[in-house]
Amino acid sequence: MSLCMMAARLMAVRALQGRTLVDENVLDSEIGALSLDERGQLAVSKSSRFIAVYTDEADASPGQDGNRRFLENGKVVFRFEIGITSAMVIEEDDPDHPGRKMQSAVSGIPFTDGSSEIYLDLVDRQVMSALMDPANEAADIFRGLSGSLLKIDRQRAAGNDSHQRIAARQIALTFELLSDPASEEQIQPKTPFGRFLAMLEAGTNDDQRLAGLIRAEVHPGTDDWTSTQERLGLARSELIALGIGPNVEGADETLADIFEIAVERHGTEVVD
Amino acid sequence: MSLVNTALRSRLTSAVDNVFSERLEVRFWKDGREDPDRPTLEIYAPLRTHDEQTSNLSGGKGRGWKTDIRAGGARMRIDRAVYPDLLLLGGEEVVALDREGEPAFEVLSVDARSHLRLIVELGDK
Repeated sequence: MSLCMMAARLMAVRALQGRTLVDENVLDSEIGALSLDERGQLAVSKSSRFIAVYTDEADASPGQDGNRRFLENGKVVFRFEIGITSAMVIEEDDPDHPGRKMQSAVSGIPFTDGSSEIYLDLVDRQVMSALMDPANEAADIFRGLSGSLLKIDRQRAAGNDSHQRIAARQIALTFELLSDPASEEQIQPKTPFGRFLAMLEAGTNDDQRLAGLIRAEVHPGTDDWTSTQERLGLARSELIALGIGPNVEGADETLADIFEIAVERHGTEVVD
Repeated sequence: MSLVNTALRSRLTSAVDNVFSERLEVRFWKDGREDPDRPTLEIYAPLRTHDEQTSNLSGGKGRGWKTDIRAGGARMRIDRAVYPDLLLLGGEEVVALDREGEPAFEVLSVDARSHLRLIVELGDK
């Protein structure tokens, strides 16, 4: 479990809720097929449109500096999937021909293959606008949890060979995500992660329980060497070699376990 | 050219339809708008729904897609002798009036090569 990835995904979902043509139907990590009833309506709500949000592959390169930063998240791909099928069009009065009906993916625009694409373009932009929104707390926390937006990748798919007419778009945003907090001392109230927890703690009972679970994973920080050792993922001997090891009896003995350092192709040196 | 007993053939078709056809409403849309030249029509024809299948949003071809949807589609076989003037171009809506919840379908393609039946491929709607 990556806490930061979870936090960013939840904040992305909340940032999008009610902000796009899909209204509240922002699905978090949906597994299994979206089920439609016999009238083609998505079971999650009366409106059958949706945006599905996923955090997908993540690639971190903590470096070769001798540290082991286990909590680094690195580059994380957020996928936003949007689709429009014939089942999702609405039927409304034709504004130009009184008494007649029309079908539309975007209200006021007649439903054609072209307007399916218009729907995707509009929702695409709405996703970006929602994530950019300065006034939205969840969006701001999302931005705070992520560093650079490294890549935007869009894919289109359309066809009717899967027994319904469908046009879909996937937006894959690759972000540099912050590392997970190692200890509670790193979760100050004004940090993005602190604000994320505050939002959960002010939320539903489910949210509050989740906040409790997250806090249980990040134990209270200590001022002593253990925090440093944890954060850098160091072996005890490495920590001592840096001079910040435990000031306890027997520390020298730990050090004495190293008798010689063999550097490949550079011979062997005896440790004094 | 072979001699065909057309009377027997149409009797066979209508005997099949007597047993298997159901009440369907065809609603005509043209470029997303109600088609004023083709008013809504009620017809009887056999409608066979396919088993639903799961595919992802890209139709199952894109491996990087995460969202899955289910759809089955159907095939409708219309007796051309009964509805000689029925013109289906694709995009029309077919509602199965006799079925629970009145499921709707969309005409995806029409095979008009047979002189006996219009074979209409339907997608879920």
